[in-house]
Amino acid sequence: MPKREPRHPASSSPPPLTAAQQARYEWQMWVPDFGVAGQTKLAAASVLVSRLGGVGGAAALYLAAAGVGRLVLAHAGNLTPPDLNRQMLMTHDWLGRPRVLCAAQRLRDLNPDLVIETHETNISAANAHSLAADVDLIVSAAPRFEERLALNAAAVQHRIPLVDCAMYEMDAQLTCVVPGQSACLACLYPETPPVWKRQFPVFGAVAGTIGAWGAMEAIKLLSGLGTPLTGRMLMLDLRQGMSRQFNTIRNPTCAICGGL
Amino acid sequence: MNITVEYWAQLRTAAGQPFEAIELPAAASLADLLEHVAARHGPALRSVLFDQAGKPRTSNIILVNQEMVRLSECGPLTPNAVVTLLSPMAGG
Repeated sequence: MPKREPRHPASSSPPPLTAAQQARYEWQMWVPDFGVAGQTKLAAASVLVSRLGGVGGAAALYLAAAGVGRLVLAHAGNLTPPDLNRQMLMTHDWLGRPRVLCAAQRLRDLNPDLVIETHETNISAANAHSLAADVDLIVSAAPRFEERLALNAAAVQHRIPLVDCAMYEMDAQLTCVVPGQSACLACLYPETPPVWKRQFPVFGAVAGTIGAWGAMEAIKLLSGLGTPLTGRMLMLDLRQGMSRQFNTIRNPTCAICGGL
Repeated sequence: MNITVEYWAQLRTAAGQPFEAIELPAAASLADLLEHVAARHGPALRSVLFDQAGKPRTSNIILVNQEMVRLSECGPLTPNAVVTLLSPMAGG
């Protein structure tokens, strides 16, 4: 499998912020250890978000609000009524039309300065590599493990970080994969879990919680802020109001990242 | 010996409770524990933990005393251990 040199968005030399950007992002640039330098890195960054549902939509919304310069959005299918309890980028008047286009419109309404690229398709082993080829980070928020594991393989191949956000009922979890440094998803799930179902019980607020947290992890990884959840998994139990985290362990014989 | 088992995600639904205390023989293994809770809670929970051939699935994450472990590498359980069983989730 051909592999390219790792991308290092935090070490590149992006163009300086415009006056409009400095005004727009002023409040977050007040955050210690972020500032103009962190914002400049976000403005130069590209992020692939896989699916714009309850989780990915929330992640994309906060990445757009934070000023990530380019968002690549992938999601197939048209909007249906059951999507609307959690997919906060959607609007009622968009029923029957492509979700990814609704998401892009909402994000442009929020932040017209961003470059937003849409793909009316879901991630698969056939397209994950090409869609991930020119981004700096992936947000994984698809409801099927086949898609997540394809994204994971692409992240490892391109040596870019992947933020994996997931939920079930009132539980949610989040981990950051940095290829070669942490366990990848295939270390944690060597086989596609056969018991996972495409449809599952969930509240929109659970999806939004973990999606927003995933956006923050992406911002940290892109800007160098704070300590990302690299090699750690966060578990949230929103029913009990409880959180926990543990260190993930790499599989030295992992078929995807074992050679790194 | 007394062991506390915590269930997350689909396993919690299948067990019908977030955690429980169980009694196992001294030096019981993690595999013994999985078989014990599968027998206790029936097919719904068993199908998440084991494949149709009775082999433990590799897609569940297991913690012992908050540390992730691999079933094949985990030694005997110790009294009062807390075992956390986290079934996979990918909801988006």
